[in-house]
Amino acid sequence: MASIVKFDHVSKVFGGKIVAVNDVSLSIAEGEFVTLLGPSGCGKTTLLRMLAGFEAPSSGQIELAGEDVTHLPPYKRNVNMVFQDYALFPHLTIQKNVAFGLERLRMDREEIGKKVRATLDLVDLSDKADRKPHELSGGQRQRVALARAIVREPKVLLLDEPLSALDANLREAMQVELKHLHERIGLTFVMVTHDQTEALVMSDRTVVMHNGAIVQVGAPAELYDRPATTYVADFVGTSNLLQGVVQKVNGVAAEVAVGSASLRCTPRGEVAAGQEVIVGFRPEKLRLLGASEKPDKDWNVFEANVGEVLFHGSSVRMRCKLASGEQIVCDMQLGTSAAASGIPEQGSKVRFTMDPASVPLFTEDDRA
Amino acid sequence: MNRLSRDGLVRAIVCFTPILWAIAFMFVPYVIILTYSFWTKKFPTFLPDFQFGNYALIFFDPQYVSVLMRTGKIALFVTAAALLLAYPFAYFLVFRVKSAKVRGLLYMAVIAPLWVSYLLRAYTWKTILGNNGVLNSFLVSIGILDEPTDVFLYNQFSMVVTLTYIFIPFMVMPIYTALEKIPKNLIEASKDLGIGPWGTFWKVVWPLSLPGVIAGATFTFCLTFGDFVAPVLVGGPDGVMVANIITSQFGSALNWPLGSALAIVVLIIVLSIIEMSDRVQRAGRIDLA
Amino acid sequence: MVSATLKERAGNGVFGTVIACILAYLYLPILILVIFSFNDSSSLTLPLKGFTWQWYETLFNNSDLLQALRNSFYVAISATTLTLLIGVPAAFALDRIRFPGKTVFRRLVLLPLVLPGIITGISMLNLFKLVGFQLSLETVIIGHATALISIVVTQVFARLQRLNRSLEEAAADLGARPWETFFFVTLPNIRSALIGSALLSFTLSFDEIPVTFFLTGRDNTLPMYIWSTLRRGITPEINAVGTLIILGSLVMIVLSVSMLRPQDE
Repeated sequence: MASIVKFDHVSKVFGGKIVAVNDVSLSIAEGEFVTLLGPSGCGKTTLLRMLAGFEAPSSGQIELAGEDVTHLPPYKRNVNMVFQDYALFPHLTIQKNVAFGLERLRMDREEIGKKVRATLDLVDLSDKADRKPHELSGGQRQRVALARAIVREPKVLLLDEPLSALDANLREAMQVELKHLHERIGLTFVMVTHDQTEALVMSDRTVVMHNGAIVQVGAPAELYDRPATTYVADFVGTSNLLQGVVQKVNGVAAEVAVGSASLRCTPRGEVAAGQEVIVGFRPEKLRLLGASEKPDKDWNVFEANVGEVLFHGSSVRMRCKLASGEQIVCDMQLGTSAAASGIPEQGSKVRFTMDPASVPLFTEDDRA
Repeated sequence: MNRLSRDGLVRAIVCFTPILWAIAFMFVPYVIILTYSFWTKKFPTFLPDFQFGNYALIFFDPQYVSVLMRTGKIALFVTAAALLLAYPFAYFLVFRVKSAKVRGLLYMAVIAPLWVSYLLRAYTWKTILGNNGVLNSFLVSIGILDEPTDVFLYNQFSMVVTLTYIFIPFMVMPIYTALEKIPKNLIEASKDLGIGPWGTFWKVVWPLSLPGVIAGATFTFCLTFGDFVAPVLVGGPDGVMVANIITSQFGSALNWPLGSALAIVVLIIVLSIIEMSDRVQRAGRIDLA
Repeated sequence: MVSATLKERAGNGVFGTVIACILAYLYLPILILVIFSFNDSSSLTLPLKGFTWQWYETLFNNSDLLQALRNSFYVAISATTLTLLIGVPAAFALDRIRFPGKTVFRRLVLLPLVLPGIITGISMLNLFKLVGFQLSLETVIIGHATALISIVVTQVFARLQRLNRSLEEAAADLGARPWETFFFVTLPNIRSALIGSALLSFTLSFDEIPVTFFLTGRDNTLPMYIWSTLRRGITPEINAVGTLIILGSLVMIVLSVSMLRPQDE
C-alpha cells in the first residue's frame, strides 16, 4: 500500500527546552484510520498540528503524498482538520461554513453549492444549512466541522479529539458514525485521542505515544494482547502489574516468583533466572475456580482473598489480595443472571486459574 | 520570498505605525515637558537651564502647596462619595435584581451619561446650584428660603457634587464587573456554612469585589485630580485645582517652565497611584478559576 | 420563612430607594437642562414661564455655532479614523507580536485612559511649538487621536484575547491565505469591539475640551464654543444646544446597543 503520510525523524522543541515530539518516524497508508493515543502532554497533538502545518518541526521531514511539506503553510496543504472545539465560524451560517474552504479554491459558485449540499446531506444536516453554529447542538456542530473538512476532499482528514466535547451516549454513537463515514468515503483519517476505548473501537492502527515518542504501533487487538511495555499494558485497557523474579526458564515459558506464588509466564524477549521482571495480566484473563473444580494442569493456579466487589452490570470487578500482599483486580463476566453466577463474597478465599500464554513478562527495558 | 521573512515583514508593518506614533506624540512630548520643567522664565521668554527652582516653588510656596493639597482632598472626597453611591447600586444590580433584562437596563442607565457631553453635565449643575439657579428658585418658591442663597455654588461642596456626578460611571463599571464575576454558589456555600448576610458580605463578597473597587477608585481619583472644567464652572476661588494653575501658566501667566514642572508633578502623582493600585491588585488577586 | 421574606422585602425596599435616588441624581440634572431649553424666559429660574422654540431658532441663526458644529464633526470623524488606523494594529501587536520595549509601549499607549487630558494637551502643545507647527484643527485631530487610541486598544485587545485562535487556524486549514483569514474571519469576529470603540472615540472626541483647549488655533469646536460662551454667562441657548447634543448622544447609545447586540458566541 502506498504511504500517504510519512514522518521522518521529526522532532519539535518549544522554547528551546520543552521537547514535545522526540524523533518520531511513522508511515501512514492511504485509506487507513490511524489513531495517535496517549495522555495529555505526550506529543500527539503537536504531531498532528505539524502535519496540518500549524507548527513547524524543529528537525526532520514530513511528506504528504510523496511531497515534502515540512515548511509549507497550512493553507497550501491538502489536509483538513476537525478541531477539538470545532472552531466553526460563529459569524457564518452552516452552509457558509462548509463553503468557506471551497471558496478559497476559487471554485465556481454553482459547483460549490452542489458540493455543500451533497456534503450536508452526507452528515444529515441539510435542514440546518441556514442556521448559525450557536443554534445547533454539540453533536450537530461536530458534524458541521466534519462536513467542512471533508468537502474539500483532502488527502488526509485530521481529527483532534473530535468527540471529547460530546456527552457519553452521543460519543458512542459518533464513534460508530465516524467509522462508517471512514469506510464510505475511503479517506485517510488521522485522529488524536486520549481515550483508549475510542482508539480501539475506531482505528485500523493505533500509535501509542509517551513523552513525545512512539511506544508502540499496532492494530487494536495486537496492542491489547501483546503490549510492548508496561506503559502500553496499563494505558490500553487495565493490567495487573506485579513485581517478580525469574526462577527458571524453559523454552518459551518462564517461571516467576511473585510474592508467595509462582507463575508460569510468556516472556517477550530473552530473560534469565534471577532477573527482576514485571508480570502483567488482564483482569478478565483470570478464571475463578469452583471449590471442587480441577484446573488445567498447564495453567497457573493461585489463591487470593476477595476485597471489594464492584457490580458493573454485565460483569463484576473484584479487588483481591494475594497471600503475600499484592493487590490484583479480577473481572468476572456474569451469566444469564447475576444472582445465579455466585459472586464471591467480600472476605472469602478464592482460587484463580490463568493461561500462561496470557501472562506477558516485561523486563526493565519495557518499563516506560 | 519565503514565508518566515514575509511574516516578519507583516509583523514589522503592524508594529511600525503605532510605535512610531507613541514615540512621536507621547514619548517625545513628555520628554519635552520634562526638559522645560528645568528651564528658567525670563520675560517674555524662557531660557534653557538645569535648575530645580520650579519644583522648589511648587513644593515650598504655600500657594502651590495648598492647591495641590486641595486638589487631592477634593479628589478623595469625590472618590469616597462615588464609592458610597456606586457600590450599593452595583451590589443591588448583581445580587438582588432577578431579571437579566432589568439588570442590563439599569446598568446601561448608569453608563449612558458617559456618552453625554461632559461639559454639559458640568454646566447643568451650574444652572442648578447657582444664585439664580433652579434649586434656589425652587426653595424660594416653596417658601423654605426667603431669598436665594449662594451657599450652593462656587465652593468645594459644589465641586464634589458635580465631579461625583460626572465620574460615577467609572466607579460603577469595574465594581459591577467584579461583583458579577463572583460565583453565586460561593455565597450559597457561605450561607450553608451558617454565616449570616453581613458575615457573608464582609468575608466573601467584599474581598472578591476589592479589585473592582480599587480600579474604580483609581479611575475616579486620577480623573478628578486632573479636571479643569468643573473648577471653572462651579468652583469659584475656593475650588481652584492644579489643572487650572497649569492652564494659567500656559496662558496669562506665561510661565511655561513652571507649568511644565506642575504637569510633571501631576504626571508622577497619577503614575504612582496607578502603580500602587496595580501592585495592590496583583498582591490581592484571588484566583477564581 | 415568613420573616425571611419580609426581611428580604424590606432589604429590597431599601435598595430600591437607593437605586431610585442614584438614578434621580444622574438624570434629574439632564432633565432640567432639557426643560429649560423650552422655557420662555432668559433666566434659568423656577417657576417655568411657558413653552417656546425661541432658543432653538436663535441657535440655527448663529453662524459661529454652526461653524463650530461642522468643525466638531470634522475633528471627531478624522480623529476616530486615526484612532482605528493606529489602535487596531497596536492591539494586534500587543496581542500577538513579541517585540523589544513592548511593556513600555503598552503603558505609554494606555496612559491617556487615566492621565488628565490637560497633560496630553500641554505636552503636545510643547511639541508643536517646538517643531513650528501652526495650531489648527489638524493639530487638534492629532491630539484627540493620541488621547483616544487607548480606548480602541483596550477594547480591541480585550476582544482579541477572547477570540478563539483555532478559528484562524481553521481558516488557514481550509486554504485561506493570511489576508483572507484576516478579512473573512478575524475582522468579522472583532467587529463589535471595532464599532463600539469607534462610536465611543467619536463621542469623546466630539465632547473633548482639555486637549482641544491647548491645541486649537483660531477655529473652535462645538464644546470650545460653548465653553467660551459659558464664561460670559449662562443662557437658555446653551440649554438648547445641550438638548440637541443629548439627542445626538442618545442616537449614539441606541446605535451602539443595537449594533453590539451579542449575536454569535
